[in-house]
Amino acid sequence: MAATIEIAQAQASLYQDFDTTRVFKFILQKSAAPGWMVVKELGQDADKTKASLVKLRNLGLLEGSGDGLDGFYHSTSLGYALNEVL
Amino acid sequence: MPIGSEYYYLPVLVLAFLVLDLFIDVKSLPAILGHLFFWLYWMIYSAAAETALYFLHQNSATNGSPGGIPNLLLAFAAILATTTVLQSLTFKVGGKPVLDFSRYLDDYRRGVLSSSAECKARFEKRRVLKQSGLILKKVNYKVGEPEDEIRMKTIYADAMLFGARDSAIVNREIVEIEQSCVNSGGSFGALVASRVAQTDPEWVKNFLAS
Repeated sequence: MAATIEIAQAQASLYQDFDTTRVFKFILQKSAAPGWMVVKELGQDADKTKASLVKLRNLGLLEGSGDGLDGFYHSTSLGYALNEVL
Repeated sequence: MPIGSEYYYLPVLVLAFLVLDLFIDVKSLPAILGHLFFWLYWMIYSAAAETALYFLHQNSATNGSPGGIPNLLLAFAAILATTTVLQSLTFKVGGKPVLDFSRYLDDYRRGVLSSSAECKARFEKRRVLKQSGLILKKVNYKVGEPEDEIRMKTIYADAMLFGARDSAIVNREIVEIEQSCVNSGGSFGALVASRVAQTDPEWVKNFLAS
Protein backbone atom coordinates (compact mmCIF):
# COMPACT_ATOMS: atom_id res chain seq x y z
CA MET A 1 0.00 0.00 0.00
CA ALA A 2 2.84 2.38 0.95
CA ALA A 3 4.51 1.76 -2.41
CA THR A 4 1.23 2.48 -4.23
CA ILE A 5 0.98 5.85 -2.47
CA GLU A 6 4.60 6.65 -3.29
CA ILE A 7 4.00 5.80 -6.96
CA ALA A 8 0.91 8.02 -7.04
CA GLN A 9 2.85 10.88 -5.39
CA ALA A 10 5.73 10.52 -7.84
CA GLN A 11 3.33 10.37 -10.78
CA ALA A 12 1.56 13.54 -9.60
CA SER A 13 4.90 15.27 -9.11
CA LEU A 14 6.05 14.43 -12.64
CA TYR A 15 2.72 15.47 -14.18
CA GLN A 16 3.43 18.19 -16.77
CA ASP A 17 7.11 18.35 -15.76
CA PHE A 18 8.22 17.18 -19.18
CA ASP A 19 11.94 17.90 -18.70
CA THR A 20 12.16 15.76 -15.55
CA THR A 21 10.07 13.00 -17.17
CA ARG A 22 12.47 12.97 -20.13
CA VAL A 23 15.46 12.69 -17.78
CA PHE A 24 13.77 9.85 -15.88
CA LYS A 25 12.89 7.95 -19.07
CA PHE A 26 16.39 8.42 -20.47
CA ILE A 27 17.99 6.90 -17.36
CA LEU A 28 15.48 4.04 -17.43
CA GLN A 29 16.29 3.44 -21.07
CA LYS A 30 20.04 3.36 -20.33
CA SER A 31 19.40 1.70 -16.92
CA ALA A 32 22.40 3.70 -15.59
CA ALA A 33 24.02 6.90 -16.81
CA PRO A 34 26.26 9.76 -15.64
CA GLY A 35 24.56 13.14 -15.23
CA TRP A 36 26.64 14.79 -17.96
CA MET A 37 25.63 12.11 -20.46
CA VAL A 38 21.99 13.03 -19.80
CA VAL A 39 22.80 16.69 -20.58
CA LYS A 40 24.40 15.81 -23.92
CA GLU A 41 21.99 13.10 -25.07
CA LEU A 42 18.87 15.12 -24.28
CA GLY A 43 20.40 18.45 -25.32
CA GLN A 44 19.03 20.03 -22.16
CA ASP A 45 20.38 22.93 -20.15
CA ALA A 46 22.87 21.67 -17.52
CA ASP A 47 21.24 23.52 -14.61
CA LYS A 48 17.77 22.26 -15.55
CA THR A 49 19.04 18.69 -15.83
CA LYS A 50 20.74 19.00 -12.45
CA ALA A 51 17.46 20.22 -10.90
CA SER A 52 15.60 17.30 -12.53
CA LEU A 53 18.10 14.79 -11.14
CA VAL A 54 17.76 16.27 -7.64
CA LYS A 55 13.96 16.10 -7.92
CA LEU A 56 14.01 12.47 -9.13
CA ARG A 57 16.37 11.54 -6.32
CA ASN A 58 14.18 13.24 -3.72
CA LEU A 59 11.15 11.38 -5.06
CA GLY A 60 13.04 8.10 -4.57
CA LEU A 61 12.91 7.24 -8.28
CA LEU A 62 16.66 7.43 -8.80
CA GLU A 63 19.71 6.62 -6.76
CA GLY A 64 23.11 8.00 -7.52
CA SER A 65 26.68 8.05 -6.41
CA GLY A 66 28.20 11.50 -6.46
CA ASP A 67 26.53 14.89 -6.56
CA GLY A 68 24.83 16.83 -9.32
CA LEU A 69 25.86 16.18 -12.89
CA ASP A 70 29.07 14.44 -11.84
CA GLY A 71 27.05 11.61 -10.27
CA PHE A 72 26.16 8.24 -11.79
CA TYR A 73 22.44 7.51 -11.64
CA HIS A 74 20.27 4.40 -11.84
CA SER A 75 16.61 3.66 -11.28
CA THR A 76 15.28 2.31 -7.98
CA SER A 77 12.57 -0.34 -7.53
CA LEU A 78 10.08 2.51 -7.17
CA GLY A 79 11.31 3.98 -10.45
CA TYR A 80 10.71 0.68 -12.24
CA ALA A 81 7.27 0.46 -10.63
CA LEU A 82 6.42 3.96 -11.87
CA ASN A 83 7.64 3.08 -15.34
CA GLU A 84 4.98 0.35 -15.51
CA VAL A 85 2.19 2.90 -15.07
CA LEU A 86 3.65 5.84 -17.03
CA MET B 1 10.70 -43.34 -11.79
CA PRO B 2 14.02 -42.35 -13.42
CA ILE B 3 14.68 -38.59 -13.65
CA GLY B 4 14.63 -37.43 -17.28
CA SER B 5 17.33 -35.21 -18.76
CA GLU B 6 14.77 -32.39 -19.12
CA TYR B 7 14.88 -31.93 -15.34
CA TYR B 8 18.59 -31.09 -15.66
CA TYR B 9 18.39 -28.64 -18.55
CA LEU B 10 15.19 -26.92 -17.35
CA PRO B 11 17.16 -24.54 -15.03
CA VAL B 12 19.26 -23.54 -18.05
CA LEU B 13 16.10 -22.73 -20.02
CA VAL B 14 14.77 -20.79 -17.00
CA LEU B 15 18.07 -18.87 -16.86
CA ALA B 16 17.78 -17.98 -20.56
CA PHE B 17 14.16 -16.88 -20.07
CA LEU B 18 14.93 -14.67 -17.03
CA VAL B 19 17.99 -13.10 -18.67
CA LEU B 20 15.90 -12.29 -21.77
CA ASP B 21 13.14 -10.82 -19.58
CA LEU B 22 15.54 -8.58 -17.62
CA PHE B 23 17.80 -7.75 -20.57
CA ILE B 24 14.98 -5.71 -22.16
CA ASP B 25 15.32 -3.24 -19.25
CA VAL B 26 18.98 -3.52 -18.21
CA LYS B 27 20.72 -4.19 -21.56
CA SER B 28 23.85 -5.58 -19.93
CA LEU B 29 24.46 -9.28 -19.35
CA PRO B 30 27.29 -8.86 -16.78
CA ALA B 31 25.11 -6.41 -14.79
CA ILE B 32 22.25 -8.94 -14.69
CA LEU B 33 24.44 -11.90 -13.70
CA GLY B 34 26.69 -9.90 -11.39
CA HIS B 35 24.67 -9.95 -8.16
CA LEU B 36 23.17 -12.45 -5.72
CA PHE B 37 19.54 -11.26 -5.98
CA PHE B 38 19.35 -12.47 -9.57
CA TRP B 39 20.62 -15.95 -8.68
CA LEU B 40 18.10 -16.23 -5.84
CA TYR B 41 15.37 -15.19 -8.28
CA TRP B 42 16.59 -17.88 -10.69
CA MET B 43 16.59 -20.55 -7.95
CA ILE B 44 13.00 -19.77 -6.92
CA TYR B 45 11.86 -19.74 -10.54
CA SER B 46 13.72 -22.98 -11.32
CA ALA B 47 12.21 -24.76 -8.33
CA ALA B 48 8.72 -23.67 -9.41
CA ALA B 49 9.40 -24.72 -13.02
CA GLU B 50 10.71 -28.15 -11.92
CA THR B 51 7.51 -28.65 -9.91
CA ALA B 52 5.41 -27.64 -12.91
CA LEU B 53 7.37 -30.07 -15.10
CA TYR B 54 6.76 -32.89 -12.61
CA PHE B 55 2.99 -32.25 -12.71
CA LEU B 56 3.03 -32.05 -16.50
CA HIS B 57 4.78 -35.44 -16.62
CA GLN B 58 2.24 -36.91 -14.22
CA ASN B 59 -0.61 -35.52 -16.29
CA SER B 60 0.92 -36.81 -19.51
CA ALA B 61 1.40 -40.31 -17.98
CA THR B 62 -2.16 -40.39 -16.58
CA ASN B 63 -3.69 -39.42 -19.92
CA GLY B 64 -1.44 -41.98 -21.61
CA SER B 65 -0.68 -39.79 -24.60
CA PRO B 66 0.61 -42.01 -27.45
CA GLY B 67 4.35 -41.63 -28.04
CA GLY B 68 4.46 -38.98 -25.33
CA ILE B 69 5.00 -35.21 -25.71
CA PRO B 70 8.59 -34.23 -26.64
CA ASN B 71 10.56 -33.42 -23.47
CA LEU B 72 11.72 -30.04 -24.76
CA LEU B 73 8.12 -29.03 -25.40
CA LEU B 74 7.20 -30.13 -21.87
CA ALA B 75 10.07 -28.01 -20.48
CA PHE B 76 8.83 -24.94 -22.37
CA ALA B 77 5.27 -25.63 -21.19
CA ALA B 78 6.60 -25.84 -17.60
CA ILE B 79 8.25 -22.39 -17.89
CA LEU B 80 5.10 -20.90 -19.43
CA ALA B 81 2.93 -22.47 -16.71
CA THR B 82 5.27 -21.24 -13.96
CA THR B 83 5.27 -17.69 -15.32
CA THR B 84 1.48 -17.49 -15.70
CA VAL B 85 0.83 -19.05 -12.28
CA LEU B 86 3.41 -16.88 -10.43
CA GLN B 87 2.15 -13.72 -12.16
CA SER B 88 -1.45 -14.29 -11.05
CA LEU B 89 -1.17 -16.10 -7.73
CA THR B 90 -3.51 -14.21 -5.41
CA PHE B 91 -5.59 -15.44 -2.48
CA LYS B 92 -8.74 -13.35 -2.14
CA VAL B 93 -11.35 -13.29 0.62
CA GLY B 94 -14.51 -11.25 0.11
CA GLY B 95 -13.09 -9.95 -3.18
CA LYS B 96 -10.05 -8.45 -1.46
CA PRO B 97 -6.54 -9.91 -1.84
CA VAL B 98 -5.34 -11.32 1.49
CA LEU B 99 -2.14 -12.83 0.09
CA ASP B 100 -0.91 -11.41 -3.20
CA PHE B 101 2.08 -13.52 -4.21
CA SER B 102 2.20 -11.97 -7.67
CA ARG B 103 2.83 -8.57 -6.07
CA TYR B 104 5.67 -9.97 -3.96
CA LEU B 105 7.20 -11.49 -7.08
CA ASP B 106 6.80 -8.22 -9.03
CA ASP B 107 8.43 -6.30 -6.16
CA TYR B 108 11.30 -8.77 -6.09
CA ARG B 109 11.72 -8.55 -9.88
CA ARG B 110 11.96 -4.75 -9.60
CA GLY B 111 14.53 -5.20 -6.84
CA VAL B 112 16.56 -7.42 -9.18
CA LEU B 113 16.26 -4.78 -11.93
CA SER B 114 17.38 -2.04 -9.55
CA SER B 115 20.37 -4.08 -8.33
CA SER B 116 21.34 -4.82 -11.96
CA ALA B 117 21.10 -1.11 -12.78
CA GLU B 118 23.31 -0.31 -9.76
CA CYS B 119 25.80 -2.87 -11.04
CA LYS B 120 25.70 -1.20 -14.47
CA ALA B 121 26.36 2.19 -12.84
CA ARG B 122 29.52 0.68 -11.30
CA PHE B 123 30.58 -0.57 -14.75
CA GLU B 124 29.98 2.96 -16.12
CA LYS B 125 32.27 4.40 -13.44
CA ARG B 126 34.96 1.91 -14.40
CA ARG B 127 34.56 2.83 -18.07
CA VAL B 128 34.92 6.54 -17.26
CA LEU B 129 38.03 5.86 -15.18
CA LYS B 130 39.57 3.78 -17.97
CA GLN B 131 38.74 6.27 -20.73
CA SER B 132 40.00 9.20 -18.63
CA GLY B 133 43.33 7.43 -18.18
CA LEU B 134 43.56 6.73 -21.91
CA ILE B 135 42.86 10.39 -22.79
CA LEU B 136 45.62 11.58 -20.44
CA LYS B 137 47.99 8.96 -21.83
CA LYS B 138 47.26 9.95 -25.44
CA VAL B 139 47.81 13.64 -24.67
CA ASN B 140 50.85 12.74 -22.55
CA TYR B 141 49.49 15.12 -19.93
CA LYS B 142 51.82 16.52 -17.30
CA VAL B 143 50.37 18.45 -14.36
CA GLY B 144 51.25 22.15 -14.42
CA GLU B 145 52.56 22.19 -18.03
CA PRO B 146 50.88 25.23 -19.67
CA GLU B 147 50.81 23.54 -23.11
CA ASP B 148 49.09 20.45 -21.72
CA GLU B 149 46.55 22.60 -19.86
CA ILE B 150 45.70 24.41 -23.12
CA ARG B 151 45.43 21.06 -24.92
CA MET B 152 42.98 19.79 -22.28
CA LYS B 153 40.91 22.98 -22.58
CA THR B 154 40.68 22.42 -26.34
CA ILE B 155 39.59 18.83 -25.78
CA TYR B 156 36.94 20.02 -23.34
CA ALA B 157 35.63 22.61 -25.78
CA ASP B 158 35.55 20.06 -28.63
CA ALA B 159 33.60 17.50 -26.63
CA MET B 160 31.32 19.84 -24.71
CA LEU B 161 30.14 22.20 -27.45
CA PHE B 162 26.87 20.59 -28.46
CA GLY B 163 23.22 21.52 -28.85
CA ALA B 164 22.39 25.04 -27.80
CA ARG B 165 25.52 25.42 -25.67
CA ASP B 166 27.84 28.23 -26.69
CA SER B 167 31.50 28.94 -25.98
CA ALA B 168 30.63 31.26 -23.08
CA ILE B 169 28.99 28.38 -21.18
CA VAL B 170 31.91 26.07 -21.95
CA ASN B 171 34.44 28.73 -20.84
CA ARG B 172 32.51 29.23 -17.60
CA GLU B 173 32.63 25.47 -16.93
CA ILE B 174 36.40 25.43 -17.59
CA VAL B 175 36.85 28.24 -15.05
CA GLU B 176 34.71 26.26 -12.56
CA ILE B 177 36.88 23.16 -13.06
CA GLU B 178 40.05 25.25 -12.57
CA GLN B 179 38.56 26.72 -9.40
CA SER B 180 37.62 23.27 -8.16
CA CYS B 181 41.21 22.08 -8.77
CA VAL B 182 42.61 25.03 -6.80
CA ASN B 183 40.23 24.26 -3.91
CA SER B 184 40.72 20.49 -3.84
CA GLY B 185 44.27 20.22 -5.12
CA GLY B 186 43.16 17.87 -7.89
CA SER B 187 44.56 17.63 -11.39
CA PHE B 188 42.90 19.83 -14.04
CA GLY B 189 43.65 17.31 -16.79
CA ALA B 190 42.15 14.40 -14.84
CA LEU B 191 38.95 16.34 -14.11
CA VAL B 192 38.56 17.43 -17.75
CA ALA B 193 39.21 13.88 -19.03
CA SER B 194 36.71 12.45 -16.55
CA ARG B 195 34.03 15.00 -17.51
CA VAL B 196 34.52 14.31 -21.22
CA ALA B 197 34.41 10.52 -20.68
CA GLN B 198 31.22 10.88 -18.63
CA THR B 199 29.55 13.01 -21.28
CA ASP B 200 30.32 11.20 -24.52
CA PRO B 201 31.94 7.74 -24.69
CA GLU B 202 31.66 7.73 -28.50
CA TRP B 203 33.54 11.03 -28.80
CA VAL B 204 36.30 9.57 -26.61
CA LYS B 205 36.49 6.43 -28.77
CA ASN B 206 36.87 8.55 -31.92
CA PHE B 207 39.43 10.78 -30.20
CA LEU B 208 41.49 7.80 -29.07
CA ALA B 209 41.30 6.24 -32.54
CA SER B 210 42.37 9.47 -34.30
